[in-house]
Amino acid sequence: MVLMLLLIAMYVKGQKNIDTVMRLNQVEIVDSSVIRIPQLKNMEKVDMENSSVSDVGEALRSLPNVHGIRKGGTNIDPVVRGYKFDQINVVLNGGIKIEGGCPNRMDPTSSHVNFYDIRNIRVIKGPFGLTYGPVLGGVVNMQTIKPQPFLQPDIKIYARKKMLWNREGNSNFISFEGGIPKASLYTSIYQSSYGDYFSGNGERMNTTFEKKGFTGALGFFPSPNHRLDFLMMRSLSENVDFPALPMDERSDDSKVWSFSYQGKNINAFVKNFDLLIYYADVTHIMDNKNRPFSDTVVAISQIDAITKGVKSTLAFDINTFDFLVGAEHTSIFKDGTRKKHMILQPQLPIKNEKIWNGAEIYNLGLFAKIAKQMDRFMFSGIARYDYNQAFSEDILVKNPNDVSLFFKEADSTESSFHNISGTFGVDYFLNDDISINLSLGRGVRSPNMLERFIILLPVGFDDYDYLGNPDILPENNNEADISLSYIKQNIGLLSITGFYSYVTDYILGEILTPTQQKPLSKDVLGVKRFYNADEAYFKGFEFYYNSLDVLPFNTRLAVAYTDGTIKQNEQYQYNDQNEVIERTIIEDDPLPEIPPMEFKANISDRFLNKKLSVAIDFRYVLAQKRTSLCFYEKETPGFFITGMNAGYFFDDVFSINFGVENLFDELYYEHLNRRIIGSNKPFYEPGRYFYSNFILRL
Amino acid sequence: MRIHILFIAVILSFVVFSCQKENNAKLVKYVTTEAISMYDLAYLNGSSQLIEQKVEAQSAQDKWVYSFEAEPGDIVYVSAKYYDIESALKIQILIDGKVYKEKSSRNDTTQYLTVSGVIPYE
Repeated sequence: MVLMLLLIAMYVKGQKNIDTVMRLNQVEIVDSSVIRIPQLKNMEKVDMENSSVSDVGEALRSLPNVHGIRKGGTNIDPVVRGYKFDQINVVLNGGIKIEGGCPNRMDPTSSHVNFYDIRNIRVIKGPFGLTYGPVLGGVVNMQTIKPQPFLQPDIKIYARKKMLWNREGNSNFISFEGGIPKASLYTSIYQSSYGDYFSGNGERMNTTFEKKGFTGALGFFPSPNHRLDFLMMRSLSENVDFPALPMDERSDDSKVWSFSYQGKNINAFVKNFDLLIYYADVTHIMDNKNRPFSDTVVAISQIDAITKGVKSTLAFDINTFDFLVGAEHTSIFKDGTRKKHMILQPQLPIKNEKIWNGAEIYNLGLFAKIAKQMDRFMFSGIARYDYNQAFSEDILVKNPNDVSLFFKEADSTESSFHNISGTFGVDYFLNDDISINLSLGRGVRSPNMLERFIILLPVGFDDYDYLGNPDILPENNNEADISLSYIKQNIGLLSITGFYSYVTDYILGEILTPTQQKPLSKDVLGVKRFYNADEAYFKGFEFYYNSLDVLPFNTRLAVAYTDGTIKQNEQYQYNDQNEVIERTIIEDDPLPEIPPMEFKANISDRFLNKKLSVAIDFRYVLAQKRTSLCFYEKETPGFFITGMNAGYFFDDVFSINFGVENLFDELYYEHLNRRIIGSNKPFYEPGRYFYSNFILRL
Repeated sequence: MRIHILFIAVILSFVVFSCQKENNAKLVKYVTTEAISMYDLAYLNGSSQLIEQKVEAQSAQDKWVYSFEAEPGDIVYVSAKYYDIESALKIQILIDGKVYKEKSSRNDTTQYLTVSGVIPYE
């Protein structure tokens, strides 16, 4: 496929007391500019703990050009540069994949991780993070707290209480860490309970949820160069409202187990050897019991999703070349049934419908990375091969009279792909202050469970039942990024990145006529089946400035813009009975759910011997007028919001933090927020609300 | 130090107490009246099983009552059909003593009378 373009990944040469910028791992564009915090590298957890956020997706929205699709009060689904869902590879601890249960992504991967156990989140934009797995548009890597060796037997305690007003929420978290030089244990427990929130005009949004969880991690350190880790993480969600979806999450029980080994400088040849084995089990139950439609049919769905995997990497040097080679295998199994209780009919008939029928996906990946520094140049490249195979049991849909509406035999559901991905990047250091990076990448993503096997559910952005298509092909992203960074002690850090993506076989839905397939869900317009549409293009830029120590106050600015276009798509015109009466080909139609341009600014400082910290942030988002005609996407007005935060560190043990979000009680909603189901009402973001964090470290 | 221990104790107690199952049980009562002769009845019991039975009624004042405890989100369901054209039927579902849903019919032997729903969440 055609590799288009250029990129400059900004690259900062050396670190020079600049904690804000992590040294970039060639080709990987690591976005470290969490807007609130100047010293991200060591304070990412602190950044999250001092804020109002309670969810990974919410936290990610503070990064430039990272957004989220809101369907409820929590579990916001990350969107990176307009790429969403499985176009982004979301992993835990560098490789653990967790497949959510819900076809409507109530429970994206990020929702299965105990938020308060996360020590940092890194985003790699573009198809460049190929060592984390197959990737199309970006990688989100969540790192949990790892037990560390203790020089002498000791115990550490960390406790935190968060309270919110107007969102009526509170969360409690406590962790214990103890150990000896050769072994240590980390354990934590948390609970969160949030009520509805109110938008800027005082409208109540149904956003209640409850979460709790437990984490246990055990680390062994037989020698300074070797460590073994065992992780067990369990998180439970209950009664999570999703007003933008046809159902609410009644419960979600996820369990993750992992074992990892890390060896450093094993011998003269092997620099690092890593092994990761994991198992993730998600049981997701959702229903429509809190919806008006439950007066006639009570629908309860239970989905079980199991993800297993193993990943290993080996790093070594040959001459002056750095090499990393690795292999990974992932398997995903999913099975789920929707039970419909016809509660207005005699004898209370129950209809069972399969959502997934024993669907499985296997992916074997092999990858190699090479890096080489030559004078003022740094070259690197990754090559990746994936063998992806999927199949499902019979896909069968029957109507209440037991007549088959749709049938696909198990034999015809099988598909397999050989995918080749690769990246190449070069950094050039013009001098000590300026560096330029150009990265070219091709990422290939095989279709996911939903796109292959979903059986008639309204899982899209529009009001259609969607049908999986086992014959669908992988999406390919050919991307070029070019970045320029400038860092000067008396100016600060400036960086700008431009990107261009050319995506082929972009996956969308095409409408089926009623004679081909009738919908199963109520109040939908019809049925769409996933297919490979025409080429799509993404382009945009990100600008970032950090004053470092130059200005009296630490100042950070970020501007980001993305434009997504599909070369050709069909628009459907409907009559009063919602029947398609005409189809029109639209050229260069904007893709749906692309965030508008936004500006972020944050000013912060410390007073009273650095015991008092004060921060104020601004966010200005332009109206999104570039909307999809084919999807009848609505324009979104722009908005301007402000937040403030003040914290006081009494000592090394105790700190308090107070803040306010949406200070001026603005009525607004993000372009990516889904509509309230059954209406055309937007899903408003919270109005003004206050929060506090009480933190204790012993 | 004392305040630190107190803080930890507060956080721990919040977590521990929140992990205990809250008792949100509701008292559900099914009531059928106004029938003057036998009718077929089907209802969901406290174990969410569908029970079918015949109910002998002598006069419109005769009451059939069934009570049980249930949780928010549980389905409640009563359906009945009478065969005497002179008869009638009224079905009520009460939650914690308040009428949640009710329906009645008179001189209609063709249709089942069904009252159902989901116990509302708070």
